[in-house]
Amino acid sequence: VSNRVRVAMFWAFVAVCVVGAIVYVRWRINVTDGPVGITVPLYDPADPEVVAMVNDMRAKPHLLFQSASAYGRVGVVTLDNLVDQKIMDTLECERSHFGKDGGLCLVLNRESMQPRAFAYFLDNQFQPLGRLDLAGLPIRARVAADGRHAASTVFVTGENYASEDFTTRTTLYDLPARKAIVDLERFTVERDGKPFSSIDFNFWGVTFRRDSNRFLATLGTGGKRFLVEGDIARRHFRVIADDVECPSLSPDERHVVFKRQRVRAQGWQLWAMNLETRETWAISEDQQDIDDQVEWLDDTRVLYGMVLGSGLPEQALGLWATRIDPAAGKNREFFLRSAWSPAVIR
Amino acid sequence: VYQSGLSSDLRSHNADRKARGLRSIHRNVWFLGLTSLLTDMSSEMVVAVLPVYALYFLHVTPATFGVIDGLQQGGASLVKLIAGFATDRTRRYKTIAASGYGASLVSRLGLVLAGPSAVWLTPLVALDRIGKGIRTAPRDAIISLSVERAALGTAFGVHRTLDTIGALLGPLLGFAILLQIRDGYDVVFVISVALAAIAVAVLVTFVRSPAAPALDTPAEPLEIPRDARFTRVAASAALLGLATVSDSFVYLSIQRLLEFPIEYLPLLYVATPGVYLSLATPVGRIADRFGSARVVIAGYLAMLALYVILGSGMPPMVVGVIAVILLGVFYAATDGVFAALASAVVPAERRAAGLAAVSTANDVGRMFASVMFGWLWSSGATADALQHFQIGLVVALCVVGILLWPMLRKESGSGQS
Repeated sequence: VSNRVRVAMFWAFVAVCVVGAIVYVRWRINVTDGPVGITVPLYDPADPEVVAMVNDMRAKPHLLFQSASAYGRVGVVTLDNLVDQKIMDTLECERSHFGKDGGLCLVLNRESMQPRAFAYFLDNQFQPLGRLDLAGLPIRARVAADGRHAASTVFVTGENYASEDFTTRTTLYDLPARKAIVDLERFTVERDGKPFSSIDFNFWGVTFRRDSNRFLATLGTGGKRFLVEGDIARRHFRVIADDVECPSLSPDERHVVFKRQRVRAQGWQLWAMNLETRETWAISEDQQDIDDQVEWLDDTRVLYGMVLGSGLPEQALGLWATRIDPAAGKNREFFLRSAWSPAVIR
Repeated sequence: VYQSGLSSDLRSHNADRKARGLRSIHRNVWFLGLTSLLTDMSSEMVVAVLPVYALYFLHVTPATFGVIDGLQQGGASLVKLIAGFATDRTRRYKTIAASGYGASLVSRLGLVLAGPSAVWLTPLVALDRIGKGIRTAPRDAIISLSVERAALGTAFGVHRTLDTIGALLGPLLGFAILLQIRDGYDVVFVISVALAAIAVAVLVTFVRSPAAPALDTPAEPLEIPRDARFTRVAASAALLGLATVSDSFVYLSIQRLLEFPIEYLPLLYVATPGVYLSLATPVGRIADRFGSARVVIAGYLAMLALYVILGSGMPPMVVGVIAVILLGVFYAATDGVFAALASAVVPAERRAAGLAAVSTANDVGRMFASVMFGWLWSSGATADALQHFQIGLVVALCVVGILLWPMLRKESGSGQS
């Protein structure tokens, strides 16, 4: 190859590198749309006009969610008009959930090292009322419909449920008093009427019953997942089913929708269980990227955040709805763009 | 960033030969300088954002980051000795150098392709350091074989200057990107790939493999001196390295103390070399006057003061500024000066191997230091880890004081004369 050709090839290569880098940077700025990447207008929750607007919205059945376009800030939308969503300039939550009178927002302080994570108690206008320290990476938040109790789960070690060596800590809160009540690890467990205990017990995926004293959750031990029913007053669990992960109880308390993961599979599949007959059936495709605990839209449909396709979370992450009717088979319908952690307030 | 080893030898060369001007410098030197500038920019922008990326974005544990940081400290050193040997044996300078630059390019590409993955981070950093270790010796060989002996100082001076410019520009660019694009680590990696790719292209296209040296100068076998004084210096280097907290961990400690936004962390990677560069020459002069052993000890006392300052209850802003200055002083007082100290105890014919052994001993010490610091941090707080290192450095300084006592004493005599 002559010297000239070599030099020409060099410049062509440099041009490819420079153009490639510029194209990538432009694309990246474009998808995040501006320096800080918030693509939606933010409403100041302390502004009296906004308070009035939110109160109007909250008079109807509505959905509170976290906006992926606004890095986990909380959004409000009424169920009769999904287009008109309002993103509040709140804390940036990793996970959040709400009851009738406020909720729980789990925050990971990115300016510092883990485990500087906090559970913030939010009032009805999304203002923090106080916070408690969390012992790891926040992964689940749940508030009872009556707002009396709440639960948070963090990974103390490990980073996801797919690996075997993780430990979680799940804490119950008295929401009106803004106090931690107890860690689930302190509960006694019974299985088939006999005491059941092991050093490797992990609990997560709390879902409260209407009375708010009893709740369902997952017990993970020795690579197995059990559905357990807890009683806060008695500090006691009873194993009620096998192979159930991250349950969510329907408002009429007749069904549970939960997640299952096959060994070595990527992602999860949603299943439904009739609590009376203990019959189970799959309601979604297998190997879906569903990290969320599902939320019930009504007694027949669940909502959940799922990553579909590639790209940045604000585009790929959205809310999907699935019917639990066995006749509907494996189904899903797109519900809301760029959102996760849904909480339906009826 | 900090060129140890031959630099102090070359500094005196440099002064002598400045008169010859830059025009006598072979094109290989300029193109290798350009390659190094681009590569250092590419690598330092990644190094400067790596702590934030690993700890705050990927959420690896401090212990894991300690291993990554340890690789940054010592990984290249371990490969360098082997690569130097292979270069002299095969004399395929350009091929070996290109494979070294290429390995780093592949590592950056891996960072882009792996996406936000904690699993791939450690092996990719290891690959980058292997590349760095491979390329140093053949690159320096090309430079030294491309110019006359008389122009050697200027040639290395030009190359190291270009190299340093890249090392300063890299973190600035990384900082600018993170400031403009939230969580823009992918952008940093993509630009780093582009820079590294152009660097390899410059090397492949424009640098000519020099003629191998004539037979009357056969490659020296890699023989490390066995002199007792040399052993003392090498042992001191290892011990002191073992008690030295790495830049990344010092910066992270400062950040945690000041609680400034993490996007600003890369700026510290520019500030310290700034202090270092402005102090290197005056400190070199002080070393010539008072003896290099004493200046090295003074440098580590600056490091000790840094630990104390970081743990003191002084206002965070004051602590931050003093800490950056002390770290710069530490590098100015130890980097070239340690090489000068080693030079004094190694016979001329084994200078290269001797200096390499001393710097490797120090780097390996620092490698274990990073792993330890990360581990201590994982099981406690930065403050606890710093306290352990404070005690460790005091002990190391006492032992080194005994080891280097003959040199510390002798120099007091020569200082008066």
